Formats: sequence, C-alpha cells, structure tokens
Amino acid sequence: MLRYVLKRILWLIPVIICVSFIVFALMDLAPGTIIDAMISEATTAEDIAALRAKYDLDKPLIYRYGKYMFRLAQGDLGLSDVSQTSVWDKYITRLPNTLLLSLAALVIGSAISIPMGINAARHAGKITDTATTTFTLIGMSMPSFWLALLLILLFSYYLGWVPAGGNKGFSAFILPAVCSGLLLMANSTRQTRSSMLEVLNSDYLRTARAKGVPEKVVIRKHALGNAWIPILTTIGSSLGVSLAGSAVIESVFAWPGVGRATVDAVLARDVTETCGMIIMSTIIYVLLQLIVDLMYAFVDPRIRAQYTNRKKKRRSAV
Amino acid sequence: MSDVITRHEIVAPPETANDEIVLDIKDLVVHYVLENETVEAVNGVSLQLKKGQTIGVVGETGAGKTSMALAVLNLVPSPPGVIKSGSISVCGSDVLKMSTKQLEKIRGKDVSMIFQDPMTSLNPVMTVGAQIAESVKYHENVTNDEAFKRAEEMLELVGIPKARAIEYPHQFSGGMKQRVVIAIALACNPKVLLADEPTSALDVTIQAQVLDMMSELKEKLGTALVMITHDLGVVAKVCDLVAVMYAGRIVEYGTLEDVFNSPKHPYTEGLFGSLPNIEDRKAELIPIPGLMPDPTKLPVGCAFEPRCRYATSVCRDKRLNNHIVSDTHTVLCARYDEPGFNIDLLRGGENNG
Amino acid sequence: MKKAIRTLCLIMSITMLLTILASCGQKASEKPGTETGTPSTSSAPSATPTPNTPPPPPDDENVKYAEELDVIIDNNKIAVINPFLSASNTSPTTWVFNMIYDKLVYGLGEGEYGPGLATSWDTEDYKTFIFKLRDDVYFHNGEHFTADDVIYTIEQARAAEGAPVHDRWADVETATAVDPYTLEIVLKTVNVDFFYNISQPQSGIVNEKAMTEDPENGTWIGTGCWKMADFAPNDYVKLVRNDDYWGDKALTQRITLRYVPEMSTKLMQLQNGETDVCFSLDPVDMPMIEADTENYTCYKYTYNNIDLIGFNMEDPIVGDWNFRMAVMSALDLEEITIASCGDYGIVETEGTVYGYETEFRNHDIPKVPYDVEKAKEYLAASPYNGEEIEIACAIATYIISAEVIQEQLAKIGLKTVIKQMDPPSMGAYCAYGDNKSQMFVHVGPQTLSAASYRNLYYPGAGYNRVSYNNPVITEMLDRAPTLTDLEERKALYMEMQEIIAQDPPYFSMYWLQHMAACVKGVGGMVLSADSYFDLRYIYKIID
Repeated sequence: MLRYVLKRILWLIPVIICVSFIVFALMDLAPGTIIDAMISEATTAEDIAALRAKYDLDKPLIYRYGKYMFRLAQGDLGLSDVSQTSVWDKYITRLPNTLLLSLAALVIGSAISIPMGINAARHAGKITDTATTTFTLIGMSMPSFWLALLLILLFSYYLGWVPAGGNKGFSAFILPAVCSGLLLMANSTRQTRSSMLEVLNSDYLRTARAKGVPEKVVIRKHALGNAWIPILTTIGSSLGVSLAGSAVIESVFAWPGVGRATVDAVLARDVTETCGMIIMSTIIYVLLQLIVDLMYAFVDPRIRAQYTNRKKKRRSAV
Repeated sequence: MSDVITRHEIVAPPETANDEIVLDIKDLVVHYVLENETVEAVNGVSLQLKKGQTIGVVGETGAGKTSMALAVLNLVPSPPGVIKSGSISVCGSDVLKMSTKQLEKIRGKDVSMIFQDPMTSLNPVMTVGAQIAESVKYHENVTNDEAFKRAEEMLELVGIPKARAIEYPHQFSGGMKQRVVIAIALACNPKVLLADEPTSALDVTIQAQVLDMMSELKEKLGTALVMITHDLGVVAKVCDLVAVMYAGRIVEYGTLEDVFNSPKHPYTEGLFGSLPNIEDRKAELIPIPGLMPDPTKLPVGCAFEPRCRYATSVCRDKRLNNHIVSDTHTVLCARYDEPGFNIDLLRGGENNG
Repeated sequence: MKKAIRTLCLIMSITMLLTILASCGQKASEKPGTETGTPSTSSAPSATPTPNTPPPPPDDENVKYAEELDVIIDNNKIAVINPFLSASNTSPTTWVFNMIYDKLVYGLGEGEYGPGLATSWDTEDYKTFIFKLRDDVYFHNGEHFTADDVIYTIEQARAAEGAPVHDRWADVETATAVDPYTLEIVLKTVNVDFFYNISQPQSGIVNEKAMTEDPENGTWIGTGCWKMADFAPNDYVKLVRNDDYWGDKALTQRITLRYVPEMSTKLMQLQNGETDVCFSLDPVDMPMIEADTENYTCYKYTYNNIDLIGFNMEDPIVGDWNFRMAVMSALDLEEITIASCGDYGIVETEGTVYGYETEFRNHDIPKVPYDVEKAKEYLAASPYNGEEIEIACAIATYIISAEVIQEQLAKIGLKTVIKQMDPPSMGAYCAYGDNKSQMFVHVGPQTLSAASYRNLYYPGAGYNRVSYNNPVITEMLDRAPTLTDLEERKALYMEMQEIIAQDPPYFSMYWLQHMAACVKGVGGMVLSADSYFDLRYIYKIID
C-alpha cells in the first residue's frame, strides 16, 4: 500500500514536467506577451526592448523553460513576472479561500445529492424521480455563471438575505458555496441515482430483503455500500476541479480564489505565475485522485484485496 | 453434526404440530406489467405444505417457479411485478396483507429463501459473517457479538470453518458461497424454506454435497422445504411431493410416487421422456417439440396444447379444471374429462431411480 | 425521512423555477431604456466631453461622515502596489498611489504646480532645480522623510525599466541632497514636462528603509494620507486613514477598493447597498441608476482617450491615402457611436486625434465629412481591388463598432472581415516593426500632457500601432520638450496636429462616457480625464 502511494506520488514528477511544458508552449503560442499586457501610453521603444531582455523574450522558448525547470527542481515556483512577488505566497494566500469554497460545496453537494439520488433511484419512473432528474438536468445544463447570477438575483437582490459577493465574512461566503454546491450536486445526484439503480436490481439486495433486513438498512448499508465507487469518482473529480478553482464562480461572486488568480495570470501573460498556479492545482488534483483511489479500497474489499494480493505476490517472488 | 445442532439450541419441531400447515398458497396470480404488454408469470397456483414436508416444484425456465417463490416472501420486484390475486399464508397469516414492518419480521424468521445464483446473491462489500449475523440480528434479541457468534456457528453447520467468517464473498468458491447462502437462509430456523435451484449453479460433486447437507439440515430443523428445480433427479432425491409447473400453472400435483410412477400430464410425460435412461443407454431421448408459449399471450385453455401430441380442438379454448386422479394426485388436462383417457407412457415409470 | 426528501426535491425544483422566472421579470421591469433598441435622437450626446467631478466636502462642522467606504473600481485590476513595476500602470493602481504617496509637487492645472513634499522650488535655466522639502513628514513606518528618500526613489525609478515611473524621472541627470531638507536636481536636457512628470501618481516618494527591509511590499510605505492595510492582488485593497498625516486628514477612516469582474454583480452590489461607489457600470444599466435620483448620485466622466480606427501605414492597401480617405468618408459616426455606446457616447466632431483635456489641442482641424459618393471616388482611386480588409478589435464595445463599420463600408463596396482577439494579443498583432494588422478599432491613449502625443506617432513607441513613421513629425516630437516657451510649444503641437491631419493614420470616432454611481451623500472624488483619480478626500455624509 505504502509503496503504491509512493509510486503514485513519484508519478507526479513526469506529470509536472509535461504540464509545465504544455503551459509554457501554450503561453508562447498565444499571441501577445507580458509586455503587450503591460504597455502604457508612456512606454517607449527602448522600454520595450529592455523588458524583452528582462523577461528573456529575446531567447528561445526552451531556454526560458529550462530556466524555469531548473528553479522548479529546487522547489522554487519563482517570482511572478508581473508583480515580482512569490508565486508560492500568492497561491498559498488564495488556497484557503478556494479550499473553503470547495469543501463547503462538497458538504452541501453531497448532503443533498446522495439522499436525493437514492430517493430518485428507489422511485425510478415515478414523479419524485422525474422531478429529480429534471432538476439535475437543469442544474447540469445551466452554465455556472448563469446559475450564480440567478442565485444573486433571488437571494441577494430580491430577498436581501445575503450579500451578492465580496469577502466580507461568512455571509458573503454562503452564496458562492451554495452555488458551487448546487453544481456539484447536479452531477453527483445523477451519478448516485444511476449507480444506485444498478445496485437496486442486484441479487444481493434481494437476499438482504429476504433476510428481513429493514428497508432503511438495505438501502443505506447494502445498496449504498456497493454504489459508493462511481459516486466517489464523480465527487472526487468534481472536487478536484473545484480545488483548481472555478474562475467563473469566483468572478461572479468576486471571491478571491485560485481560479481567478490563474485566469488573471493568463490574461497578463504571466508565464511564471500561470505555470506555478497550474502546477499547484495539478498536484492537488493528483493527490485528490490518489485519496479517492485509496478510498475505493476502503469501501470495497475486492479492491483492498488487490493491494494485499500484490504484496503477497511480491513477497512470494522474493 | 447432531451435537453441533444441539449446541445451537435449535428447537425441534413439536410432535403435535406435525400436520400443521405452514404454507398455504391459494389461486396466486402474478403478472409483470410492462409498458406495452403483460407477462403472465403465475396464473392461479395453489399449494399446501405441512411442517417438515418437502415439495419439489419442477418446470422449465420461465414456468413461473421463481415468481411464485418470491411472492411467498412478497418480494416480487415491483414495478413491474404485481400480485394480482390470491392469498399466501405462512404459518397462518397472509403475507400479501402484511405491512412492510410485519413482512420484515417474518422474512428470514418464518420463511426464508435460498437464491439461485450464489455468485451474485451475496453482498460483495460485507463479510460473510456479517451477512449471516444480520439475519439473526434483526429477528432475535441479541447483541452484535452474539449474532456474529451465531453466524460462525452457522458457517460450521454448513461445513465452513468459522475462522472464515471475517472473509468477503470474493474469497469463496461458488460451492462455498452457496453454503453461505444456505447458512443465511437457515440462520433463524425458518419454518418454510424456499430453495430456488440451489444446486444448478454448482458442479455435480458439490451439488450432491449441498443436497445432502440440505436434507440433513431439513430433518434436524424440521423445516418445510419448497425445492424449486428443473432437475428431476434432485426432486427424486429429496422431495415428498411434486408439483409440475408449466406456463404459470401447476399442471400436475402429487406425491413423489404418484408423479414419478404414474405421470398423468402430457407435459410430465414429456419431461421424463427427455431424460436419459440409465438402464437403456441406447434409447433415444425424446425432446418435447416446440417452445414455451409467449407468456404475454397465453390462451384461455391449455398452454401446452401447441406442443401436446394428445391435443384436440377442445384443449385450446376450454377453461381447465383439475382432474382428480387420487387423494394426493391431481392433473390439469382437459382430455381427462373424456372417460378412459390416459397417456401412453412412452417410457413411463422406469426413471424414478 | 422519505417525505423530507420528497419535499426537498420539490423545493429545489421550485427554487430553480422561481429564480428563472425572477430573471425574466427582472429584465422587463429593470431595463426600460433598452426596449426601443436605439435611443431617441433627442438625447443626442453633447458636443464636447467634460468631466463631472463631485463636489468637495461641505464647509460645515456639523456634518457627519461615514467611517467606512466600499468602492468598486473600474474594469481594470490592481495587480501590484509597486510603482517600479510596469504592471502598475492600470488606472485603479494609480488611485491607490495617489492615496498612499505624496509627490514633490501637485498639479493645479494649466501648467501651474503647487507645493507637496516640496514647499518651494527654484530654477534659473530649467535644468537645475533646488527643492526645499518639508521637515515635518513621516512615513507610515515612522521613518522621517528627508531628501535621501527622494534620491532613493529616483534611483529605483531609473532602474525600473519599462515601468511608467521610469520615464517620470528619466530626465534626471543628478540628484543631490544639499542638506536633509534641500534637494538639488539637475536634468540632462531642458525639459518643460519635468514638473508634470513628477506630479504624477507614479512619482510618489518611497522610503529606503522600508524597501530594503521588505523588497516585496516595501512600496506599500509612503507618506500619504492613507495607509495600506491589506491587499489581495487583482481583488481588493484595504486602506486606513493616516492619522499622523502632515496635511489635511482624510474624511473617511477606512476604505476598500474592490475589483468585481462581473458587471451584473457590480450592479446588484450597488443596489443592495453592499458598496458605496461603483465605477464603470455596464452602459446598459446606467440609465436606470441615473434615473433613481432618490438613492443615487451619479458623476459622469470621460477619459481623455479617444476611441478610433487605426490604419496600418505599412500595409499596401490600407497605407494608401485614397483608401483611408474612402473609409473615413464612408463612415457615419453618429450611427457607430449610438450602436457602440448607447446614450453614453459623444461623437468626435473635430479632425484632430487628440485628448480633449490634453494641452494644446487644435480645434480648427475639420473632420473628414461623411459623404458616400466621395468615398466611392476615393475608393476607385485607391489600389483596393475587392480584397477582404481585416478589422481587428479586442473588447466588446469595439466589436460592436467594427460590426457597424463593416456594414457601412459594404455600402461603398468595400469588403471587410472582423478579427477578434484579447487585449494583449492586440498589442502583439499591431506591434511596431512587425505589424500584421490592416485596420483596427482601438483606443488612442493620451495623458493631460501634450508629451503623450509622442506615443501615438513616434517610431517604435508602445502605442504607435499604425506603424507611423514621418521624419518631419519625429523631429518635431524630439524638439517639443526642449521648448521652454509656452507659446512656442503650443504652436509646435498645433502644427503637428495639422500635418498629421493631412496624412491621417487614425480616424477618431467617439468618446465613451463612464459613470461613477454613488450612494446618496458620496462626494469628494476628483475624476480627472487621465483616469488618475484622486480619492483621498472621498466622503459619505450620513444623517
């Protein structure tokens, strides 16, 4: 198990190399450079030349990439091209906001979606199910910014319960959390529903019922216990995405998270910062997937057995 | 084995209750209502079973055997399944009129079921011990530890070392899983046990072991057993009574001797005809021609008519009545209304070994 | 349990429906002005833009001011609070500079300058200046302000290549401290723009000790009447009043400048009372807020930057005089302006391409008249031969303009295709020396100083996106800063505007009016045309 975890973590290295190269290449291919984003009415031709030299824009891409990677290998994400401040600091100051939002979304999303999905699956084809599926369909097809605006309109403008955005304490946090929670929910409700449907028709549920196990326990223990894996996968990847920061939601609610910082860095053509932000999000995403994988083993003994079997095999091989 | 059982304090059937009727199915009709058609799975089945008796329910796949058994537990999957009419009383109370709570109380306790496919009938994410213990936990006033202990004992009873109680189903072989399924079904000493093809997923040597074990347990525990199978050999080995089902009806009903020695229904005849004869290995097998009728379009009369070599014009449209052959033997065939009719018995009476 | 879940499903669905319905209702009631599509001609924009600056604080001791203000800044972000970085050139960043720093001198308009950190100054030859500095000024970190801090600031500025501040102090040859409160500055050449330069927001004086102790955030320390409290890049800046300020203290105690990316969120935050001042509302929402005089006071302002069409002078077709004249004659600016800005556009009626507040504007240059027949003649005389001419544009307003231009040009048989890109791409696309564009719709930025004229026409300058290279103009631009005589300089700029009008590489179109929508009682801001707003003495009167 430990070896498996270590192996997965080591895999991060090639992933980071690839990701950072892709970021560098894309930023290089994108028209415009950091200088074009900085230019003002007072910028002279000499200034531009000086800036080009400062940002190594007169050198080939591979030189800049190599320089970046050399620094990265020493664990240094570098200084932002634009603000000359540490990218790591910037990420770390933004991360708690994103983390808070993602976790709230996770809690809100799964607290609603799992019971709702189960309920829909149990009453498949009936009105509750239709209502739920319609609701999730709306939730999934509605663009997030649109949902966000509607929520602001209703709860902030008409009802005046919570502020529309900003970072003034808990009340400003409610709407973005609910909004990302709803988005996560739509997805995971559908997943819960379909994976429960699959399980509800299975023979072992019939066995459990034939034993006289109360229906509540049948659903909670026998059915959900088996439906976890796809649900975990969905929630895990949604969480991964939201941990990378949802630029859209963060923009609408003026929430100072990682996603917006990344987009701002791209718009400013700040290669170092963009790359740093994306590398950090990649690491978080990969680690999260690892946790999800480990959780598979926790919920499913067959997967757990694979880990132990591997170990046994290796021992016998030695 | 016997000392094991006494250790479990398994209650022996009281002497006086030997003729107590534990299962009484009357005119059971089960339909599956689909979007544009209705599958008529069980069409008016009646059955009675006394304490300790074993009935073999024989028939092809799709004859409605499993639906009938599920109806006894009131577990017909709904939708699309609907129990249209009839009554099923288990130990005197009608399961079709019970509330969910009452049902949960009798399932596993008064009546339990061994399912067809041991590979899928066990929950893959729970230990087998826990799965057996669950049965005990919800029916008897015991702690979790006691329930688990009982589970371990049940495992020993079906011949699995109790240390394996903490293992998961994927760590067991098919035969072992079937034993676990049986252990689950027997954990609370049910009065009625429905065994739905308990051996068909197993290979022959295991089959014999499991059957032996089941009859042994049945005797020791005094359980009434409904043995659903399409294997006449199994029936011959363990059953007292035989019901032959075709297209949702019991076409012939009688004691083992009645049915095996003097089958009356053309379908029963056909069944025996399609068995290999151990004494005459050169004898040609005679298959029943044709296929099972479409269960969505059953005729008013005899559903076997298209495949029956005795069929006449009356068979198709005439509503069928049970023809009483003897006290214990009935047959559902219109031809018996004609005095003196009997089937030819191509190879009748010789294969009840 | 079951019921609860069922109810939950129902509530969710209803909420979703309600919000959708709510939004439908909203549109109908909230935006009455947009229903007719095009605004009526009676509200035709006035001829010349003027900044509408809020009133100064009333001279009444009984007035009570709100302690805390929340301001949503315009559509630019504050990436960094550091004048020595080029990223600091966005408008709201300069607002913060204005608040946290003091300059040696303050501009009073019309070429006049008043004392700031310098109490008086003296020069004989416009090359050597002696500044007498205040001796009672302290930085936010408690350090005493001396001439050495000015010298340190100048050194930092000269090292900061590419940053706006670099040019502000670029003319300084030497700076020496005669004593702690006397500073001698010698310029390389005579430069009449020097005072203008050092009165700009980026020219604030920083503290050497603060900068060396904290190289990243040392620039937060100034001597201004506001102190930095908190900063999230591209998000918000929080400032607190400097209670030890040497001059007039601020009227408000705390202020937050926030960037809100989403226009609708901005509007709703204003309507919810979550903010006190909101800059750059969506033009669509502006009439509604403006009409609500009971709750809001709106101050309109127009930036000094003209929105224009640029022609790549190096392009074989677009570079042709006849072709450019054809385009200019074919365009109905009134229509373009109304389509692009609604009620908030002002059509440019003069021929010069020049900031309306920039000094030495030549008002006598005629606009190329709108004349479709003439346009066709010009086009026939040009090398244009049915090709598709590209119009590049980067932001929403300009895309609308480009679409109208495309339609109007089609009427004279000129085919065009619109190419959309993001602003940094635009810079690379129209870069001097490697200009890939043909025509583009963009902005011609100019400060209040005539010196900024240089950047639109000087070879290699950042905003010379038309690749203009006219040796006559280049020489004149080089000569302009050395003319100490005001009249002489004025005449030179007037002449330059005339010469360029003969050869127009740009065609000015309209000025877009912006609005600072304020909650009732807000005032004290100085909304200058160069976008370097002064919010130091912003206030909100409460009852």
